[in-house]
Amino acid sequence: MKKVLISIFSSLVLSGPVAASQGEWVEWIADAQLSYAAIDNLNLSAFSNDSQNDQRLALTGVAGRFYQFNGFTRMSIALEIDVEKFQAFDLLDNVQLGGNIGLRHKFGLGFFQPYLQFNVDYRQKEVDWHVYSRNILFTRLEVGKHLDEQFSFAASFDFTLTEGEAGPVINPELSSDVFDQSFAHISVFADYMISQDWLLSASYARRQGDFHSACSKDNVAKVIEVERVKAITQDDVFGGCVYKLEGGANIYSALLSYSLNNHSAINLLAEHYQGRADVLDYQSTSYSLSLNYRY
Amino acid sequence: MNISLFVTRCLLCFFLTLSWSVSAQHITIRVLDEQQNPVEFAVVYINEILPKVTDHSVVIDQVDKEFIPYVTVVQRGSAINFPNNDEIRHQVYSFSKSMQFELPLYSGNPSSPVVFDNSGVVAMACNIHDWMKAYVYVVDTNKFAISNKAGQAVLTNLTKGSYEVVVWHPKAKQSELLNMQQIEVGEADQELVFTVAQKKQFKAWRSPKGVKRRSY
Repeated sequence: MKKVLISIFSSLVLSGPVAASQGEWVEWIADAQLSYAAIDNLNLSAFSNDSQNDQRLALTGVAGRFYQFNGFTRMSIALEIDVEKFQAFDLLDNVQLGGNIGLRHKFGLGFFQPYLQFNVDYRQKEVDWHVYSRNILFTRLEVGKHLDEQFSFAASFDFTLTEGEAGPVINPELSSDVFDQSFAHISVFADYMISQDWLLSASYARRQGDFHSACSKDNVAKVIEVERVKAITQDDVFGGCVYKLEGGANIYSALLSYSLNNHSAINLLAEHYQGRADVLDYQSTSYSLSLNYRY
Repeated sequence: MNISLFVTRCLLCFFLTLSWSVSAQHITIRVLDEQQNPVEFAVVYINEILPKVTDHSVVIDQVDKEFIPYVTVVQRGSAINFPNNDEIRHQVYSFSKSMQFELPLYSGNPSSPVVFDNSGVVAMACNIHDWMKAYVYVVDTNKFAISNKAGQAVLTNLTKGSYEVVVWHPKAKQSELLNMQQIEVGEADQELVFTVAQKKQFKAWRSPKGVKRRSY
């Protein structure tokens, strides 16, 4: 799949213009992000005596190009590489390599016209603890518009499929394919410009589908007793087991951005995940600070 | 008395008086906001209809996905060129009452300039890059200027007389009809100070706000 994506990307970006009466390859995409995050309950444990915190450093690079079909529709194609390093739980260190295609259409001429955007993203995530490695296919449909000069709004639906390798079998009655998952979000976003240099964003997402949680072996028996665990395997990251189940979650986030110039900004994000399966609650909070650059 | 000397002196006085009465003066206008900070991009002009004095066309460029300059002032009937010096295409449009136009997706130089035939404010934008915004202010006079970073603009070559000086700014809270001062131009250069209350106005957010979210 990786080879197919790279060859599609190369032929589309590096070849001559696609035969379209007005279309043309336009601006290049060259984005970078350096971020630091403090994550509470990184393992998303349902048990306070199992909850593990950590800090993560990440570097992301994106390269690609836009293709402008006409004054209202454009496509983006990009390759992305992500590297994450964790301070305490370094078996979660990972590298992600993927590609994405986006299509954006604006419904007319003018600042207040709404837009519709569709994105497909495919990546391979290689984690030091191989059980966590997986291929990820992500699709999203988003609509949005400016409501006035300061305030804009968007809503989206996204769906994710992940495919991992089976881990060691520790319960013969349960599968060990913890990272074969599917889940979806419905989200709403709002941006508010406090000034020309400061932006405040808030979002709410409702997540539904598979998720994973890790806990110590002592708590596994409790989990299996009360929850409908779909898969479980040994977890060398947190020293117990990691298991898959199905549930819903509310995800709240707030973002404060400061514009350094037209091409870069500092972003501060707070995110709170509040999930529930059949019986148990799964909560986590993270704070991240990032420096972003866009060509 | 020598008659020829007398006539010469009379003629000399006459021409000195004449030159004095047609000498051109300047008015320096300082534009400040309510906090007494200098206001850049204020259009300053004499409120009267005057003949069009120049046929050269004006340029509003597009560089690094921004219009340059942000504010342009032209006399009614002037033509403006919109070269695109970015390596990408832009789509320029205006919905303003005094002027609606569209330059469909283009790169390089459009085949012909846009002629601004009506007085008033023309707000322009790019349909692809939401943050791109600029203004053209079209006036009936040939006496106009735009304030610099120090909030200063100079109206030059004004003959003796009474004038109405008007100030317009894209962020002005009040109409330009309320930003008007009367001035008597005499023998010396003068200075006028305008205080123009500014409203909040925004260009769309351009900086990257993408941030790495936690994957659950």
